[in-house]
Amino acid sequence: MSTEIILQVSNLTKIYGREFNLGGKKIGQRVVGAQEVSFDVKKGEIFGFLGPNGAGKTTTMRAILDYLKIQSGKVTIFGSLDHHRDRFEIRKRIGYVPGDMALFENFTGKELLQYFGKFRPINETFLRELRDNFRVKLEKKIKALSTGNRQQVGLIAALASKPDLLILDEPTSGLDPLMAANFHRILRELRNEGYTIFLSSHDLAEVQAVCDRVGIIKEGKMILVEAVEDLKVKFMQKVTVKFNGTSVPKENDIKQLNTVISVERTKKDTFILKIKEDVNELLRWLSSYDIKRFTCEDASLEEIFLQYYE
Amino acid sequence: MVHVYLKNLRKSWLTGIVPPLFVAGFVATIAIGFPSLRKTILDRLSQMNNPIYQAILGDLGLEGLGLTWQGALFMYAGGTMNIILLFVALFIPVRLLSTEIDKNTLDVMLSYPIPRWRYLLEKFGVYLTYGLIFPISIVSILIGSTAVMNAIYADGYVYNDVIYYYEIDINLVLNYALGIFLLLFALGALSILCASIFLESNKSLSAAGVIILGQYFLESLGALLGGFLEGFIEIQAFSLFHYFKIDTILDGGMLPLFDVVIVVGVGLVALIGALIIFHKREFAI
Repeated sequence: MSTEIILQVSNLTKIYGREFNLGGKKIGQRVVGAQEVSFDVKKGEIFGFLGPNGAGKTTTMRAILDYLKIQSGKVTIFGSLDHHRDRFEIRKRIGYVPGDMALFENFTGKELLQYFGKFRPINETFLRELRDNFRVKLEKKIKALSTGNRQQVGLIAALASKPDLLILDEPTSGLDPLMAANFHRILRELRNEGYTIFLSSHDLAEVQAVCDRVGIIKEGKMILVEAVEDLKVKFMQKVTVKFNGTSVPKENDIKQLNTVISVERTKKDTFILKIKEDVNELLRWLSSYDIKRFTCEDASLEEIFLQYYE
Repeated sequence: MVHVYLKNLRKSWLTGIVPPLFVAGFVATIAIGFPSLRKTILDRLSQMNNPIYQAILGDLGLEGLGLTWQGALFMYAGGTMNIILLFVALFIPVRLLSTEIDKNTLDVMLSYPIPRWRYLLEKFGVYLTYGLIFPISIVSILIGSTAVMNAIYADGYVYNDVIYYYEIDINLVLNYALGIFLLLFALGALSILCASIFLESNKSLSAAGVIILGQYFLESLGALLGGFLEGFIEIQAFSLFHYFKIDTILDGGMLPLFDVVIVVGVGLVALIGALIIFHKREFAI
């Protein structure tokens, strides 16, 4: 992975609607779509963008694409291009798959590719490769295709020009596992060739399979940006503590510790704790108790993600 | 290249050609039936002097034209054309944009390197291209049917001891056709302005409907109320349907310049507004 930054988002804030105060009464509604979101995506990287529904993933993506006007912040793409000022130049070099993708229904897949190819020239060699990997019949009209096949046509259309940056909003929704696996392989190959991919997904297996780094957004705020490999090491550990005899602490006392994320009492004298960062604070605190058994293991990625989702 | 224009031209061909062909077919039918319908037409024209009737249909500017073949043709062509124009200008421009919003196809399209204003302009170009069929078909059918009638009834017809021939003023036809096209442009621009503001078809059609149908009825209302209070007739000036009347074209021998400035001006302002709004607006989820 290069250190060259392809997409840089700094303090992006998007607020929907307005609120007015009229004689002490609030009129209208102000909804925070994204608040001071900052992250960057490096060249040759697959960056996963995660978060629960309504967290601000699509808002951020659409703001990057200049579909939405942002209240503050800056989005720079390909080093120096401003997402608003240089949107025409940027669109020559990006591919986009929206979450709720719809294509011109009266076109065949082939006609659609030809049409889009007039705006962003198609890489014919890569298109042949894509056609080999996706098994959709491009001779059929879009309206005659199933949801999954339409998704495949949309993916082919977005990828066919082999753009420098791919922005994919839940790209594998509707694909069967085989097609999803093929698509993941294509993404990894593109990454290895130096292309950059920014994708949002709810599929944690997909994130684990393809992403180099992830960013987690919650309630409009970016709460974490980390390499997938480091997540397990740096972030959550699962600790099981069995206390001896009568020296059992109260659940709330354990929760007071800064590094403890959650406490689950499985037996009268046994607790399962989820710990962030390291166990030093916990060990110091436990030293005043009589411990019968202490085990510590890395949490799975899924457990880590879910922790942030909750 | 105008890829969006060509794509939409191909896609909308049926919607584009049916309305003008309907007008042409209707006028042709009237032309064929004129010899036998002549008396009915004259009776109908006398009915139309009734202000209430005029208020409903609008002032077709037929005064003095009723006795002639030309007058009868313009009465039917004009009346039918206004009604068809209403619906064409209301539905086609709005649907060109709002269908994409409703079906969500604009989302992918906007990620391609084409300026939004140009995207909308090319779509409006499709509407104008199909709009051209209106004047072309009306000119063809008016001149063509006159030539045919002249060939069949070279001696004309007699009414109240006066001989009338099957004649038509080509200058009037051409100016009328140009007027139709300019009106189509201005109404379509208002319609696409509504679409670029409201995006969704329901809201866009409602807004365009209020503006375009409102103008149509304003013209009729002005005529109706003007019959009672002269000042009310002035409200017709706010309706685009008030311009390019047959009698004013006949009087001046061409489209009145003032009418052209008003109609084209309204159309240009609406179109430029639509392009700016569509180019600058945001597309929320």
